[in-house]
Amino acid sequence: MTTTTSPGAARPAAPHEEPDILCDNLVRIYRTEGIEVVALQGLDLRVERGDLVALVGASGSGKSTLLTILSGLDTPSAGVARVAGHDLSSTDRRARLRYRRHTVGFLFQQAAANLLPYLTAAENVGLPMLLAGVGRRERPRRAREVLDVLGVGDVADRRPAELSGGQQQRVALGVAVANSPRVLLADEPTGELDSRSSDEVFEAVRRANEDLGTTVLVVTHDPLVSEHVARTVGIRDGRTSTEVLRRDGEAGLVAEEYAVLDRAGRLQLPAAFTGRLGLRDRVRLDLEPDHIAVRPGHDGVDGKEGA
Amino acid sequence: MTGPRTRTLLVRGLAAVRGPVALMAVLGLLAGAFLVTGPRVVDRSADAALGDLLAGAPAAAREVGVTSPPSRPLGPPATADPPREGPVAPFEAVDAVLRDVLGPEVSGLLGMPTWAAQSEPAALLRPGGTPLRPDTTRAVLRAQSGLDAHVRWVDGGAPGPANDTGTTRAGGTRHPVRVVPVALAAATARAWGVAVGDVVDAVPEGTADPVRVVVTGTFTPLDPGDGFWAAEPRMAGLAAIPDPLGGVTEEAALVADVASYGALSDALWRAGPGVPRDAGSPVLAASWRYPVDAGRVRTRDVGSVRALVTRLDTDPRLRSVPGRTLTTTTGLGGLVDEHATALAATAVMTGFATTGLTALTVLVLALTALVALARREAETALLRARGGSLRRLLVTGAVGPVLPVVLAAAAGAVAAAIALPGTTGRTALVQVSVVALVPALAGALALVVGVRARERRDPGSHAARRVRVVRVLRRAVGEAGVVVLAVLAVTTVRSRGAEIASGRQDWFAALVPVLVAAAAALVVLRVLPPLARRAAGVAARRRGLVAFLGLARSARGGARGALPVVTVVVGAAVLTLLAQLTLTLDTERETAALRTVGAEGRVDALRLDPEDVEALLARPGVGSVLPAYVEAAEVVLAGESTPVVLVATDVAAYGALVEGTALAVPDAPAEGQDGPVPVLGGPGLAPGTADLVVRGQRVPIRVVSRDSDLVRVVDGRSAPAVLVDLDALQDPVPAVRADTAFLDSAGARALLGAAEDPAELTPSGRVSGVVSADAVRADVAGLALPRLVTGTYLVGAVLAAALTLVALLLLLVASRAERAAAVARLRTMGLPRGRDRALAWVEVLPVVALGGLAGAAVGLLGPTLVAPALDLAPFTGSLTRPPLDPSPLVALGVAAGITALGGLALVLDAAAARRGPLADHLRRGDTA
Repeated sequence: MTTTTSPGAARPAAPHEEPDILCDNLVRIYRTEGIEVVALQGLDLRVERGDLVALVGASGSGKSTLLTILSGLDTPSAGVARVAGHDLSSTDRRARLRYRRHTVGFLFQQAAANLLPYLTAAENVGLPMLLAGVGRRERPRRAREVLDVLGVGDVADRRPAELSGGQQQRVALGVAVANSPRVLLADEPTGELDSRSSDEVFEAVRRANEDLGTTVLVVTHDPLVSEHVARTVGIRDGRTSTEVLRRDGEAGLVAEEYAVLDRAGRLQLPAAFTGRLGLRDRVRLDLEPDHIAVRPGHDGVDGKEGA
Repeated sequence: MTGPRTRTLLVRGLAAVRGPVALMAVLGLLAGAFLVTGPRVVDRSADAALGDLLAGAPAAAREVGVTSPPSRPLGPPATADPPREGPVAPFEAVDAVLRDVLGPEVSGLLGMPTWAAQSEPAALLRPGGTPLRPDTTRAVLRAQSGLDAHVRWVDGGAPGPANDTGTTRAGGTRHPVRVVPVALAAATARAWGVAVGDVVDAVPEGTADPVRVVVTGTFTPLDPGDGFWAAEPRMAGLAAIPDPLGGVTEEAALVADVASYGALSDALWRAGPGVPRDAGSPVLAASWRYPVDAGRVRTRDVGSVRALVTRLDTDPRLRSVPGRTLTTTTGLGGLVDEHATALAATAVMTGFATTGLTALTVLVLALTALVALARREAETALLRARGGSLRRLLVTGAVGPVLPVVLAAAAGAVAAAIALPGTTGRTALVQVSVVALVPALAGALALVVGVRARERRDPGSHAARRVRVVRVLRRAVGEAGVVVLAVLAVTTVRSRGAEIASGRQDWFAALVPVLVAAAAALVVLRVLPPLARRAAGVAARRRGLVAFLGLARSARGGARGALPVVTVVVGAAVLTLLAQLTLTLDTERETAALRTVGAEGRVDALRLDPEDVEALLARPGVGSVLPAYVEAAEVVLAGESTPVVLVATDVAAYGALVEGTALAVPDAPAEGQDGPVPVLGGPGLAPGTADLVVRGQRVPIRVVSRDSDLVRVVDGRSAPAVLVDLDALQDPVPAVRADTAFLDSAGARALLGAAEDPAELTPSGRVSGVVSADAVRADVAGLALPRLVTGTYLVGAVLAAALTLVALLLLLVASRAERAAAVARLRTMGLPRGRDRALAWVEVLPVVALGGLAGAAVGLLGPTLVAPALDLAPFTGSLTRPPLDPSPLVALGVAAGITALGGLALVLDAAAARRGPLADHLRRGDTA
C-alpha cells in the first residue's frame, strides 16, 4: 500500500492581497533552566482576511505558542510572523502595545482569566477601550452594543462571579473584540464549557467573524468547532502538518484533508496513515509521473509490498 | 451603566489585595507614629536626663556660686569702743550685678538664691568664760538668708536683727557688743546641751574679737538632701573634722539673720571711727548662691548655660564691683558637657535599634508589596495583554495599592504629633516619607522588571548566553556593592567611633548592623542551595519522600526569595544585637553598683566602734556586718603616684562576703609578717613594694597579687583598689578607724527599712547612711536615659520579633500557591494526607534556621564591630567605659528563637490555609 501526494493540492491559490496572518518558517525556542525546548520549528501558516480558521493539534504541539506570538505577547526566535501588516519579529515595545490595543483581540481558554473579577461585564468590555484611549462617554455605549451583539446585554451589570461559564466567555469575547480588532485569536474558548455553552460561544465567535469581518484564528480541541469551520489547520511537533478544507457539496458539507508541504520540502504524513501502513523509520520514495509513492523501507518485512 | 475609570481600577483593585494592603497600612501607621514619636520621646528623656543629672550632682556643681573674701582691715580693731552699725552688707549690690550677668534666660532657670557671710571657726564659751563642752567644741558664725524656708523649728524661732547689747572680754579688754541672735540645729543643741535663750560667747581663732550670741531657736532641716545645706553642712548638724593625730573635732554653725551682718562683723572686728561703712567686713567671707532649678532646665537651655559659663569667666562687670573681689564658681559647664556626652551615647545606642527597626520595617513593607503584586500578577498580565501601558500598570498595580500606606503613615505621624507635643525634625519627616514610599518603589521596580522579563525579545542562543553572563555579573556586582557598603560602614564606625560617641550623627555608621546582616544574607543565599542540595541527596538515600522533596524544593528556591531571607537575617541580627547590649547593660550596671557600694550593702558612719557593729548585728535580718575603712588614697611607686581606693577590712571575711558576685577577690594576702603590709592590688598596680599614702602618712606595702577587676568607686571617682587587712594597717596608722561596714544583700535590705533616720540605727548616732547595690542599680536604671535605652531595646526587640514573624508569614504566603500545586501533584502520586505540612516544614525551616544563625552571628559580632562608638557608661552608672562582652549563648538563643518563629509561622500559615475557601482547595488540582 502506498500513500500519494499530488502537487498543489493542499494549498489554495495565492491571493494578491497580503493575508491577515502570515507565518513563514516560524521558530520559537524556549530556554528553561538551561534546557532548550523547540516549540515551533519552521511553522508556515497563511490566513486570509475575514477567514475563520481552526487550529488543532495535540498537547504540546505549539498551538498556544503560536497564538502567544501572534497576539504580540511573545516574540519568535526566527522566521516571519506578520499580522495585519505588523511584522512581529521587529516591532518595538511601543508598537507592540498599539498592536495589542487596536489590531488583535485575544481570548484565553479560562473564562476567568479574561476578566477582572471586580469589574462588571460592561466595565470589563470597556476596559480595552479605556486602555486604547476611547472617550469616557463613548465607552459605555460601545460596550453595551458589543454585549448585545454577543447576546449577553442582559448581564452587563453583573460581575464575572455572577455569570455562567458561557456568559463569562461571551463577555470575554466582547472584551477581545471591544476595540474592533482586525484579528481575533482564541485559545480553546470552549474548552471549559458544556456543549450548549460551547455552541453559544462558537456562535458568538462566528458572529464576530461574519458581522464584524474579523479574521479569526481559533485553537481548539472541540470537534464542534473544528468541524464547523471552512478550514482546519493541524499542527504537529511545531509545524503545520495537515489542513482540512470544507465546502458545501451536493451531499452537504464536504471535507478534504491535505498534508502540508513546507518550503523545505518536508511533509508530515498523518499518523493514521503511517500507523495503518506500518510506515516508520525509513520509507522508500518513488517518483511516478503524476505522484510520489511512499513505501515501507524494508520490502517484504511484513509480507507486503507497496503498490 | 458606566465604563471603567482608572479610579475604578484603583479602588476595586485594592479589594483583591486587601490583606497585604491592610498589613502595609498597619505597618505604615506604626512606622509613621514610631518615627515621629521616637525623637520626641528622646527629647523628653533628654530633658528628664538633664534634670536627673542636675538633681544628682553636688550642690556646688549645679549652681552659680560667688564668693568674696574678707576685705583688708583698715587699721587695728577698736575693741573697747561702743558698738557701731558695722559695715554695710554687700548682698544686694552684688546680687544686682550677678542678675545682670546671668541674663533673663538663665535667671528663668534658677531656684531661690541665697547669700551668706561667715566667720572663721570660733571656740564656744559660757559667758563666764568656761568652755561650752569639755572637749574641743567649735562653731562658725554665719549670717544666712533663707534659713526659715528650709527648716522646721523644733524650739524657738528664726533669729532676727541684733538689738540687745552685752560685754565680752577680749584679751583682758572689755568688749561691748551687740548680742547676735542665732539658731542652730536641734541635734547640735542636744549634743552641746544648749537651749533656746542660752547665751554663748564665740571666741574666734586669730586676731578677731569675741562675739556674744543668744540662741533664739533650734531646727531640723526640712530636707537634709537640699542643696541649701551643702554650702555649709555644719548648719545641719555636727561635722566631724578629721584630726591628723587621730580622732575628729566636732564643729557646727551658729546661724544668724543677714540683718545681723553689721553687728556680727562689728563685734568680730570693730573698725576705727574714720573707716567708711562700705569698706566691707575684714572678718566675714561673703558668698552668693544661685542654684539651678533642675525642674526648669531643658536640653534647649544648654546653649544659654554654656554661654553663661563663658561669661562668668570673662564678664568685666564681675570685676567692677567697688571694694569687692568676686570669684565665681560653677560646675554647670561640666554638667552640660556630661549631658551632651550622655545624649551622644544615647543617640548611638538608640540609633542602632531605630535604624535596624526602620530597615526591617522597610524590608517587610517591600516584601508585602511584592506579595500584593504577585497576587495581582494574572491581572497585570491581562491588562498588559489588552494593551495596558507600563505607566498604567504602575499606577494600578504598584502605586495604587500603596496609597493607603502613605495615608496610614501620614495619619500615624500626625496622630503621634498630636498625642505627644514636641518638635519634629526634617530627618523624621524624610524617614516617614521613605517608609511610606518604599512599597510603591519596590512594587514598581518588581513590576517593571517582571513586565520587561516577560516581554524580552528572544535573543537567540549566543545572546542568551550573554544575557546569562550579564545576569550573573549583575548579581555579583550587586552583592559586591552590599559587601563594600558594609565594609565602608564598619570602617567608618571604627575609625570615627570616638567622634560618633561624642555626638556626631552618622546614619551610615548606624546602619552597620543592617548592612553587615544584608551581606551575611547574601552569603546565605549563596550557600543555601548547595547545602540544601547536598542534604537532599542524603535524604534521597533514606526512607520517606518528604525530606528529600522538601530539601530539593528548598535548594531550588521554591520557598526562598532573596528579600525574605534578607529580612530574616536582618531581624535576627537586630534581635541579637539588642539582646547582647541589654544583657551587657544589665551586667555592667550590677558591676558598677557593686563597685560603688563595695559589697551588696554598706553602712557609712562617722566612725564605727565595736558597739556600733553589735548594734547593727542586733537588727533583725542582719547576718553579718564587716567593719572597714574606705578612703581615696594614693600608691607611690618609684616617685609616681597612682590614685587608689583604699579598702581596709578583714580581707578573708570580705572575700567570703563578696564571693559569687562581680566583686569576688583572689585569696587574701599573707598576714603576720614583718616588713611592708601585704595588699591585693587592682589593675595597674604591679606586684612588688610601694608606698601607700593614707591620712598623710606613707605606709610601705607589698602588692602580693593583682586582680584586674579589683576596682572600686569612692567620692565619685573610680580607681584601682588596694585591699588590705584593717588590723595590719592600723599598726602603722593608728588613726585609721572603721567608718564603713559591708553587708550582704539581706542585711542591706533589713537596715534600709529599719529606720527613717540612719542615725537611729546605732545608739551612738554616728551612722550617716545605708546603701545597697540593688538600690544603686535601681537608681541608675530609673534614670531617664537608661530608661529610654532599655525601653527602646525592649520595644525594638518586640517589634523586630514581630516583623520577622510577619516576614516569615509572607515568605510562606508567597510560596503557598506553588507549594499547594506541588502537594496536589504529589497527592496524585500517593503522598499521604497530612504530609504536605511536613513538606512545608522541611522546605522552609532550613532557610529560616540558616538565616537565623547568620543573623545571630552578625548580632554576636555587632557589639565588637561598633565598640568604638559605644559607650555604655551613662546607662550603667560606671565611671569608666564598660567592656563589651558578647555572649554566644545569647546568639544561639536568638537563632533558636527565630527558628521557633519560623515554626510558629508555619503553624499559623497552615491554620490560615485550612480556613481558606473550599473552592481554593478544590481548584488546586487545576494548576497541578
